[in-house]
Amino acid sequence: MLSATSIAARVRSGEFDPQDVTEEAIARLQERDLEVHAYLDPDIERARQLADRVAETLRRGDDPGRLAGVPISLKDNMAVHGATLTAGSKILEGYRAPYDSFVAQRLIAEGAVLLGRTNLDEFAMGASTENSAYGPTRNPWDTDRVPGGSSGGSAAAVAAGIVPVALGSETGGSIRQPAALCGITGFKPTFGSVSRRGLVAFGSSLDVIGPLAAHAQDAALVYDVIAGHDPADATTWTGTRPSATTEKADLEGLRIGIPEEFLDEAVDSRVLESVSTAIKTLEEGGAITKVIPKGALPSMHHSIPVYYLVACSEASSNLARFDGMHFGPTSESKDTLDLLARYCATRADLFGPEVRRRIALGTFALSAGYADAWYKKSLSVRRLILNEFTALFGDYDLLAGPTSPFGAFKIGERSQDAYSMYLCDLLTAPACLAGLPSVSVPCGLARKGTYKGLPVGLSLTGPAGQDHRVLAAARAFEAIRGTPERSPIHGDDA
Amino acid sequence: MIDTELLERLAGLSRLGLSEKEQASLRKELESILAHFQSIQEVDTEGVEPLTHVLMDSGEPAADVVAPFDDARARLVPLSANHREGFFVVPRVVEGPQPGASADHTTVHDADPGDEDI
Repeated sequence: MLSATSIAARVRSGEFDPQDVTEEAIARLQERDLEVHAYLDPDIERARQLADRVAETLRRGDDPGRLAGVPISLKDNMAVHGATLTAGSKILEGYRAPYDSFVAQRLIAEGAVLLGRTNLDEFAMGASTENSAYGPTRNPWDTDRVPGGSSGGSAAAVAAGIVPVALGSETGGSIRQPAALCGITGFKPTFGSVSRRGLVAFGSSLDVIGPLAAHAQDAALVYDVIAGHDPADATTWTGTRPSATTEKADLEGLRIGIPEEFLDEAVDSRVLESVSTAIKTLEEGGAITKVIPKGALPSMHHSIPVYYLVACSEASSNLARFDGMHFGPTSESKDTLDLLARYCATRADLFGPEVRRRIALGTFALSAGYADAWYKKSLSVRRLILNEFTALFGDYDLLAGPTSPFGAFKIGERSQDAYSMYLCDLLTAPACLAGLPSVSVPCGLARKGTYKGLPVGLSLTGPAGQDHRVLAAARAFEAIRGTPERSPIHGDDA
Repeated sequence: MIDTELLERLAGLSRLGLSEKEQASLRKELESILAHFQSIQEVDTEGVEPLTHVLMDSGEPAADVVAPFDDARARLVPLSANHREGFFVVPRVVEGPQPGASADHTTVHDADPGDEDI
């Protein structure tokens, strides 16, 4: 399908009718989502209304904006006024949002046509989208496999060619990891680049919203639209964000380090092979690459425990608000006047097993007698991880490596063992803990082995606040490598 | 590491309504996960300040100003899956006579914080 950049240009020039563009996207959704289940609510009426609005703006002779007529889907943990907002959980079934999230406001203001909300692991807790209370999403490359997670619905919607771009959220890898497994670009901005107003909170010191797109240029365009200070989210940093769209896409002279810690023995050999080829492509573009011997990021080895202890502690606090009274339904299993018993029954019946496990883990890590040894200890190791990254960025502009240790795995392959699923975050959690901007770009298909024919993602990570440079490098990489391979469901349609 | 007493305490704190069977399986899972996480205990963090956030600037707190949300009743109540006569319908949690002719086990809560509860 055409890029968002191209659709917006043609709608603005009058070459394309925004209503036609929208109807085509709706038709693709209705046909292809039967196979992938990327959507929890297609919300077609809203898309048509927004398309009408863009058409009306054009009729008046006004400019509809930088995303004029571009169909964009949102992960179903971002509020859209009047629309359902489930976060993939039964505990929010039927809940409707009383206001637009900051990102939805920004997209609509630039003429985007919001088309539906996508599936996710319950409360964004998972790496395969199998933890959704509404059934798993399937990978458009092979529908027996997972799309990754937790933004698996958004990744699959883009990889299936339904929309050119979708929004996801990331706490430990939830944008980049599904982007890698679905063969598209996924960008996690610097912590605090994008407002979380209207995002269902998971781990507040980690959560970030970002784009998933078929083209790196579109990820840059959507980042430019949604990034900025929001007085209603005190964690957004003040000051302007340089444009990622107009930043020169040039790799010449860029110092790119590949820490050996990123080439962990847990990484699949065929994934490493694709990434090695990608690094040669970076060199062809003029980048100066260097493998950094093991020892530069010694604390990265502890990223999984640190990430899970921090994120689950924050989640146990954030999810306390879901008691069946303030939001969503109340469990009917206990007919009692005891309010506490009702809270417990609702949380027992309507939270899924992974969410319950993480709340329990976080409650443990924060509880009296254990908080110093687990929660505070993990925060101290988190600082060491940040310090080690900061030191490396004295010598390198970007760090490169694989996004995920493996390709798209089979549905059910990892869901029986919580820790085995946690390992999916091995290479993404470090940048989340340090708050760094990081992009995953498609770098080809695995040639042999378990993941033969499935996409591999190259990760590029930069210093905090350098989002525009990270995205410019992704654009440059794509320009050299060419248009990424398309999934069988996507096909060759223009 | 995690005994029955601790699990009961966690169950109470987290309001997860854990059955005895679930407590047993959760105990196993948590012990297994924490065994994998044990490695952080070996890291020397003497004198290292815990990192609670990674904000780019000082994180100027938002001004403590009330933001008006007008017509709360008209804007919020109709969004609820269960509402009646401009009120949210929630399970009854206090003793007392049933309101009106309603025979079900429910009562209604006022949506508008400015009004008195009924």
